Amino acid sequence: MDWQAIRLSLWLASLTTAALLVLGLPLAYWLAFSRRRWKFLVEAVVAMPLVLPPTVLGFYLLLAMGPRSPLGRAWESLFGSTLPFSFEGLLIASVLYSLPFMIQPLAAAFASVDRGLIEASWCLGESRGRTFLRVIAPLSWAGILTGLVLTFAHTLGEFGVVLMVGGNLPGRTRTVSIAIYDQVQAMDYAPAGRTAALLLGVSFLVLAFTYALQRRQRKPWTLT
Amino acid sequence: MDTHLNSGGPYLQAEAERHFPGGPTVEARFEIPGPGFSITVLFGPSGSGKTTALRLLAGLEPADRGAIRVGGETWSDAAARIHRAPQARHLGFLSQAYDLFPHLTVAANLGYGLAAPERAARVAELLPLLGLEGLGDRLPGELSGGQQQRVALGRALARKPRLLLLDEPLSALDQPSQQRLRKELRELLRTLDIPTVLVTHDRAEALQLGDRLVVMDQGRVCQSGGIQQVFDRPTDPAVARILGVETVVLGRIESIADGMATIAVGTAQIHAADPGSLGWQVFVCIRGEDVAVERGCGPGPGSTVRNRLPARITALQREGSLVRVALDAGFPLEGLVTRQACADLRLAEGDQVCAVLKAAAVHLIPHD
Repeated sequence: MDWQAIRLSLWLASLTTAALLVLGLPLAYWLAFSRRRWKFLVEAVVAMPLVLPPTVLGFYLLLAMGPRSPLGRAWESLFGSTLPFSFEGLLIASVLYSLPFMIQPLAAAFASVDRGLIEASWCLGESRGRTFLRVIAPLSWAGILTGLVLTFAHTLGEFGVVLMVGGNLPGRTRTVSIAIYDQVQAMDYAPAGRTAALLLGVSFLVLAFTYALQRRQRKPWTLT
Repeated sequence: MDTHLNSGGPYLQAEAERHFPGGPTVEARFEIPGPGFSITVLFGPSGSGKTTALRLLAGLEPADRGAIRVGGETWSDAAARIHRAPQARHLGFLSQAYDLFPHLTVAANLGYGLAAPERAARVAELLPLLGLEGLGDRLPGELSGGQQQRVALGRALARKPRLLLLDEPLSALDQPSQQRLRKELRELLRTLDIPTVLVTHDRAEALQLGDRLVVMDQGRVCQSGGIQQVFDRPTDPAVARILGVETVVLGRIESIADGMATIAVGTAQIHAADPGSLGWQVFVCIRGEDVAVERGCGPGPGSTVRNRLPARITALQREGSLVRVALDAGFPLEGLVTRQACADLRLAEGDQVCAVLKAAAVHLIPHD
C-alpha cells in the first residue's frame, strides 16, 4: 500500500475541513439569514461544484493559478513558488471543490433554528455574534458535524480536480485516489485492491460513526 | 430622578407604524403615563396587529413611520432614521411560545442576559420567587407548561427591565392554571414595579390584569384609556363589538354566602354566583341580551330571578330588529330587547321601569 499517499490524503482532507469550517461559518450564516435579493446568485455559485465536471473546475483553477494570472503572479512574488502541481494549490482547489458539502448542511441547520429563540436572545441584550455562539451554533451541532464529515470524506475521495491541478507527484500531490488509479493502470491489482478497501472501510466507518452520534446524542429538545 | 420627569411627558409614548409590503399596516399608538407599575393591555381579536405592535416596541420590527420614546429616550424615529436595536432597549420580552433555550438549564435560561458577577445571586433569588426551587438544573423540555411559563417570565424579568412586554403570557395554559396565575402575575409585577404592556384577546384576562386598555382592530388602535373608561364609553360600535359585553362596572363585594355574592355597584346592589377566589373588588359584566325590562318592580312571586332593579330609561336606540335600552339602575346598565316588546310596553325615554337579570347571567371578574 502507498502509505505516503494515504498520509497525504488524510492531511489534505484535515486541512480542507478546517479551512472550510472557518470560511463556512460566516458564509453559511449570511446565506441562512440574509434577505438580499441577489442571494440566489451566491447560492448557485456555492452549489456549482455539485454539478460541474471536476475537469471543468480543475481546468479553470489551473488557468487561475497559472503564472500569467493575477493570483499566480501574486503567489509567486510572495512565496517564490508556483501554485499548480503543489500541495498548496491542491488545498485551494479542494476547498473550492468541497464548498457545498460544508456550506449547505451549515446553512440548513442555521436556518432551522427557531427565529423566536434568536429574538429572545437579542431582547436579553446579547449581540448577534454572541447569539450565534450561545444559541445558533449549539442548536446546529448536528448540521455542523454533518458538514465536517461530508467535507472530510469528499476531499478524501476526490480525483478529477486533483489530477487536473495537482498532477501526480509522490509526497506532494499524489493522493490515495490517484495512487489507486496508477496501480490499476500498471495492472498492479493487489495493492490497488488493498488501498481501495481501506478507503471504503474508512468512509463507511466515518459516516456510520456520525449517524450513530447524531442518533445517540439526540436530546429531547431536538425532537420538538 | 427619572429622565421622563425632567422632560415632563409620559413615560412611554408610541406613535409608530409598520407597513407590510402588499399587506396591512399596523400601528402602535398609546401612552403609559409613569415609570412605575401599571399594566397596559393591548386587546383585540386575533389578527388585529397586537403582536406586531408589541414587536414594534421591542425593536423586532422597524417603524416605517412615526416614533417611540421611552423614559426620555428615542427608541425609534422613522423620520430621523433612528432604530435602536432590541439589545439596546433594556426590555423584557415574553413571546407566546416562551422561546426558552432548549439546550440550557432553567438556571442558565434565567441568567442568560445577566453579567457573570451578579448572575448566580440573581438566579438564586429568582428561583424561589417563581416557585421553581430545586428545578434549576432541569432542561426546559422536562418542565410542565406552567413551570415553563414561569421560567420564561423570570428570564424576561431577571435584568430588571425598564419595560416588560408580554405576548399572551397565559394562553398556552389550561383554564384553571390561567385563573390562578393571573392573580399571581399581577401581584408579582406590582412587587417588581415594572411598567408592562400585555397582549391578549381574552376579555376576562384584560379586565383582571389591566389598568389601561388599548383596543385594536385591523391594525389600528380604535380606543385607549383607563380600563373602566373604555368599557364604559366605547367610542364606536366596532369597539363595543370587540369588547363584546354591554355593561362592565367596578363593584365592591359586600358579602358572600351559600355560593352567592352580594355586590355594591353604584348605588345599587346585585346578586351573582360566586366564582370563588374573589377579593374585595370585582368587575361586574352583564350582556345586553341577559337584561329584561318590565313595567312594575314588585317582588316577583314564583320567580327564580334574583335581581330586580328599579331603573330609568336614559336612551333608546334601534338596531335592526332589536332596541338597545340604556338604563340608569344606580349604575349604567344596557339591555337589548326586541322592537316588538318595546312597542308592546310603550317604552320611552325617562320611563321608570324594572331591570331584571338572573344572578347566573352576572359574570364576576376579580380586580384587586
